[in-house]
Amino acid sequence: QHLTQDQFEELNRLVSCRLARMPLQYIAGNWDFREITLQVRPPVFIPRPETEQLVELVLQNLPNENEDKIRILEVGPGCGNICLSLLHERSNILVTALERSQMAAKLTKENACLLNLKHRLEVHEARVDDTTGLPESCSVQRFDHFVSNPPYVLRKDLMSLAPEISVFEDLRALDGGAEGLDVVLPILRLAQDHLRDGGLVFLEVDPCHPHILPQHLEKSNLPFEIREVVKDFNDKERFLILNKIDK
Amino acid sequence: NFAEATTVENLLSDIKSSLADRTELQLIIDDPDGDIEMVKLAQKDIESIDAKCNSLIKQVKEYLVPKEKYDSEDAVIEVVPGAGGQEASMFAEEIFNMYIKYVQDMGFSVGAVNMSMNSVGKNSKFSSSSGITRATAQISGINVFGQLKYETGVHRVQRVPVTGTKNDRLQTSTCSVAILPKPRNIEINIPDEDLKFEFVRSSGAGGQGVNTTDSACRVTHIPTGTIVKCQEERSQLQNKKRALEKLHYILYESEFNTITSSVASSRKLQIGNMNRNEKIRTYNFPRHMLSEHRVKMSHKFPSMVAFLYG
Repeated sequence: QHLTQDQFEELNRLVSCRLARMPLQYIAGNWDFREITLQVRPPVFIPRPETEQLVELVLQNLPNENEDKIRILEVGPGCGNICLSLLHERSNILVTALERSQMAAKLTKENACLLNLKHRLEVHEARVDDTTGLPESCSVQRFDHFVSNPPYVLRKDLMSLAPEISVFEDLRALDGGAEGLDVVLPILRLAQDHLRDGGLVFLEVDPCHPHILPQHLEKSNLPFEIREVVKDFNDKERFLILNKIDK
Repeated sequence: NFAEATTVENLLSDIKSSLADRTELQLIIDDPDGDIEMVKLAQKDIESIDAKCNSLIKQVKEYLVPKEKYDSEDAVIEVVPGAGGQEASMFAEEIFNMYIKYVQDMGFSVGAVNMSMNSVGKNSKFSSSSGITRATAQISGINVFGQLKYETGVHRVQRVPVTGTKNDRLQTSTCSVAILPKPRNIEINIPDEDLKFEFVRSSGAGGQGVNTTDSACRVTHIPTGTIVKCQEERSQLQNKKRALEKLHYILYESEFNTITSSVASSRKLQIGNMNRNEKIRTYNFPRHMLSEHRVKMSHKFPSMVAFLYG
């Protein structure tokens, strides 16, 4: 079966992309995550398989589906894989998402439309750092849970990333600073004021973080403790569940 | 079960009271000073009580005989010619077609009919086929196996072969009929502890630092050692679900084969060596007679041919 001229040219173009180390997901333009298909575009961060387990963890910690609404805050949705999976798999969840990248915010909204989930999702272009709090434009100010796959790669490890990543993906989605905690700590500071008592913070992190985070929490006076550390399928300590400490 | 036990109890008490009535009536009949009219009435009543008792006893018997395990299942019918060459092949085909019509008349549905036709031999003027080497079909409905299981065995035919000339003698040939249950509701329960999931490992720290499109999943069913891998899907969760589905199907098939092979080995006992002596039923065309050997009954049929054609 021979290709038409148009098909041949397209194939050539795609092969050139791949030879230039463009990630396959960008070439395909979309990829699956858990039960949904998401549009993906450079430089928005491509979902990793580990993160599927983060969604699973959140779902396991929610009460059985009922009428009560569950309000979740996500920091850094990227293309929307976490929040849209949660919305798709549970009809009683509402999500507010904070995204610093204009392109990522746009892509998350686009995917929400394609999946018919935009009515339960609010996306704000905002940065989470120590100076800013929750944008006033957020309709929800107190949340049942926080979830995030924040940039957590340590600066020293950033150098050894494969070209697929360093050339094509937004490094701001990966760079966690010297100790990989430059975004994690501000998320917890935000949770201090906007997470309900008894609420949980679900994070995907670097395997060193379960060990170095506690001393940082103390140093920064953040009233949180690690309730659970969960390993990923590579047997690495990948996920943290934190809760507020009662005074 | 409880409902059945209650019914049997009720039947038994009906029988008891009928027998009590009967005893009383018998007293009237036996009374030497009794009125003739009364005696006649009593005799009539006794007759009807006897009839009623017989029917009640029959019902109790049905409840008391334990139901066979597979009676409610669907069935597979298999017909294979035995001794007798082409004539046997043709007879086998007729028997098979007869059964197909028969089960349809009973209200069952027939599916997956598979007939391997005999390719050698001369055709007769009655049929363009020279018979089958094997035929199977699936039959579904309510209590199919229970209704059909007694057809299993060697069927024997005695007739002048339809392929022959007028001078051919009576020939005896056989075919075997096997009815096997096709279990539907095999429950496969796989508790989480019995499963081990493995995914593609990346080198180094993994996580954000690695981009991979390989989300293949391998699941091991620890009790049986069955391993299933799935990498067709693009998300890890979907590969995991698919792998579990495949595993479920493999375990189901294995259970299915266990059940059918245990029945098939009893089938071998039923059919024996398929020679002309191990018959359950004989269709004798010249004498228009059908003999059932197990219950030793014979029945005359004016037209055997019409009988086989339904």
